[in-house]
Amino acid sequence: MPLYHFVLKTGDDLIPDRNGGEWPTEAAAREEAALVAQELMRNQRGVKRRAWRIEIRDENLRPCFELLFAEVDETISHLPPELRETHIVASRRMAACFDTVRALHETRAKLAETLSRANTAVAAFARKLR
Amino acid sequence: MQNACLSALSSRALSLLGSHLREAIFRAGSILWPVTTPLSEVYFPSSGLISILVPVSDGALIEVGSICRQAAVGAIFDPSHSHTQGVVEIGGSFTCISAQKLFSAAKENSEIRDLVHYCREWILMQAQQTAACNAVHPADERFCRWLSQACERMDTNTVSLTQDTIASLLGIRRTTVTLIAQMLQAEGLIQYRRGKIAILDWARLRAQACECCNPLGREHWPSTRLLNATVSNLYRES
Repeated sequence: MPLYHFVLKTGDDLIPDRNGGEWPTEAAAREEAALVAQELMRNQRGVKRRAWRIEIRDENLRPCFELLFAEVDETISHLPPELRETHIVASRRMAACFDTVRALHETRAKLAETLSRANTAVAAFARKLR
Repeated sequence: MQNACLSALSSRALSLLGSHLREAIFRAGSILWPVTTPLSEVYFPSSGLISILVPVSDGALIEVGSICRQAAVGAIFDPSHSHTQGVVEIGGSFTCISAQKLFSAAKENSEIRDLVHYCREWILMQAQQTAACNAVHPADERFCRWLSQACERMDTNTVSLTQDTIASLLGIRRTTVTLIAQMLQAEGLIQYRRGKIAILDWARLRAQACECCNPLGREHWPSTRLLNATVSNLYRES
């Protein structure tokens, strides 16, 4: 059976499942992702986790599908379609916002690393000049 | 290390049980009593953990209570048959006694009567709390609750248990448990390696657990209640 990996995307982190799991088809893996999302949202106070996502990757870790929690949130399933869609769109925007913030943090960390390396190089150069 | 309830008994009370007590070692996975079988033994864990499980229609067994060294379980309610199953989830050493012998000693001695009473209440309290917990608390809070309680009750920082087992005890999917464990690992709360979960920061793990830990704290452990009762009896006698 093919191997699939699940990556949980919370507000702050990307959480990969270490070993992955075997599912007969990608559809079965998607179904599992939906059930996991519902378990992680169940009894949650507030709406924070609606913007969480589960990304399914194939055995080569290539992303093949992403599920937004809001899409399978049972607490909004009774709403009229247009209202439900509003919740989903808002959650998708929130998720995009999470991605931007995470990318910003990564850039800042890389920048800090580059600056620190530059400082070391400059200090070494200054020592040589002396 | 002995079962804390047995240690809390006075030597007079313990001597009534003495010759009937037997030591046994059970490995993880041992079924102490299967569903719908008459029970005759009472088990006092000295180490390890026994889960009380209720079977549900899809074949799963859901935990409704766990017993470590501060309590006893088995035929303590004296039912002719049980709808639960008792499984050793974490292996260890156990002291066993026939329920009949324990109950006849309880008729003669108030400490043993208290012991039986406190252990019954403990099972009932856990079942009540679990019912509420399963209904309203999210999976990750329940996972943190289970882990922090197990470590506190066994007085350890490492639990030998697979994610499969925890998933089945809590009635949640294995994938969900894997992701929760990874999330806690990323936060530096636990470390998971080869079927062993090491707790790196118990206080933070406890803080992420649901509120169900509070009504089942140390002061409600049967061994604590028994010790308190024994001490106050001693004061009264002196």
